Parts: sequence; C-alpha cells; structure tokens
Amino acid sequence: MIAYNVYDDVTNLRNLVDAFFSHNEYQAISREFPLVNISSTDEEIELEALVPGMSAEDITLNLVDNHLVIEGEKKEDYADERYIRRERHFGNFKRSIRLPYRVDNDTIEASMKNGILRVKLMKNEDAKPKKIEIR
Amino acid sequence: MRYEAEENKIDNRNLIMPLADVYETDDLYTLKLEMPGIDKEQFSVTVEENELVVYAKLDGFPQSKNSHNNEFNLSGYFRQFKLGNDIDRNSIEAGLENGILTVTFHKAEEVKPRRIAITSH
Repeated sequence: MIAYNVYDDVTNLRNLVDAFFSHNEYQAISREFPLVNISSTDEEIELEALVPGMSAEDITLNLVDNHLVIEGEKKEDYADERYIRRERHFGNFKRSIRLPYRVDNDTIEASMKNGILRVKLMKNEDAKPKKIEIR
Repeated sequence: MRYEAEENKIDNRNLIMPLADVYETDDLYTLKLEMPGIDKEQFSVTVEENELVVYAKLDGFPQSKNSHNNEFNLSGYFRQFKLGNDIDRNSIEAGLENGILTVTFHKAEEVKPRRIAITSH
C-alpha cells in the first residue's frame, strides 16, 4: 500500500517534460542504420554497431580505403502474419563509416553477440603515437 | 509503477523504449522487441493485472577510451504494454535471440476461431 502523494503527479509531469527535451539519440537518428559507436586506444580502434535480429551471415564488412562499409539485409522475422503493431524496419542497408585512423588491413576481427556487431581494428604503424627523443 | 520496490521506482527517463512489433496467428499473439546488447540475466518481463512490463538494465559500456562516434548509449530498456482480456495469463513465454526479445501469448480458449460443425438432419 502506498499513500497517494499529490507531489507525485507534479514530478511525473516534470519527468515527462524532461524526457521530451532530453535528446534521446537512439530514437532521434533511427534513420541511420545501423547506429555506430567508435572508440580507440593507442593501439586499436573498436567499432560497435546495433544490429538486432541479424546473424553473421546477414552482414558483409568491407574495408575501402579508410572507410568501413557495413552492408546487409535485415530479414523480416515473421512472414505473412496479421500484424497489430509494426514499428521495426526491415530491408537492405548499407552504411559507410569513416575510420578515425588508418588501420592495418590484415588484423581485423569482427564478432556478433546479442545483436551487437563488434569490429576490432589495429591502427596502422604510422597512426600510432610515437615518442620522440629529444637530444 | 507497482513493480520493483515502490520506494525504488525505475527511473525510466534515460532508458530506451524498444521498438516493438505485434502480430497474431489463430492461437497466439507474438510481441517482438528490439533490445540489442542484453543478456538473458539482465532483463525482466513481468505481468501484473493488465500490464506487461519489459525492463532491462545495462551496466553500460566502458567509456574510458577515446570516443569518436557516439550514436547510442545503451543504458537500458523499458516499455509497458496493456494486455487484453483474451490472453491466457498463465502461459506467457519469453525468449531472447540476437538482441530480439520475443514474448508469446496464448489466446484464451474462448476467443480462438472455431469451426462449427454443421449437422444435417
């Protein structure tokens, strides 16, 4: 049991207004598919992409110059059933992502888990930070 | 909100509302939600009275490294659905695959389509 508190409604309203004005990135750029995060360390670049409902066979990755091209098809997972609500998108997609550094072409690792694609790329020797000796 | 302790309300402001599809067959309603990045242990699906609540809290991904492109932040997911009376509350099943949460509802016997036998006299 919880006593009715008149201020709950006031804070609920505030939350509603806050949520409206706070920029929710996941929904705001949903035209872009897939959404991508890129982070880096001194040695490597890690790219994560949201690809829910897709398996490794559905996606092709290509490295073109210093762009990573993610391409594939998101297949509809229920065929001709009567739908009541339909918010998800299906179909072909292609997205080219500019990598922040030049990468070593031979050591690229990609894996999929729980609808997230992870790509690990090693920086090219020239792109790694170098310590310069002062004499 | 009646789930999780009352005093410990879910702060759903920063949680993502997962995209949902609902479709039906003669026996079932199926709900599919896009929730990339969650494990089986991290989500809860609860039914209370007429409300289905899907909630998942993620620890978030380590943000210590240099970030170059930041288009998503997986803080967690939250969404509520109203259930109709034609759903059998005791046979709701949930499964997770490749970041898609599938919840299956069996229709109550009374609302399933029935073939009516015609008897001739």
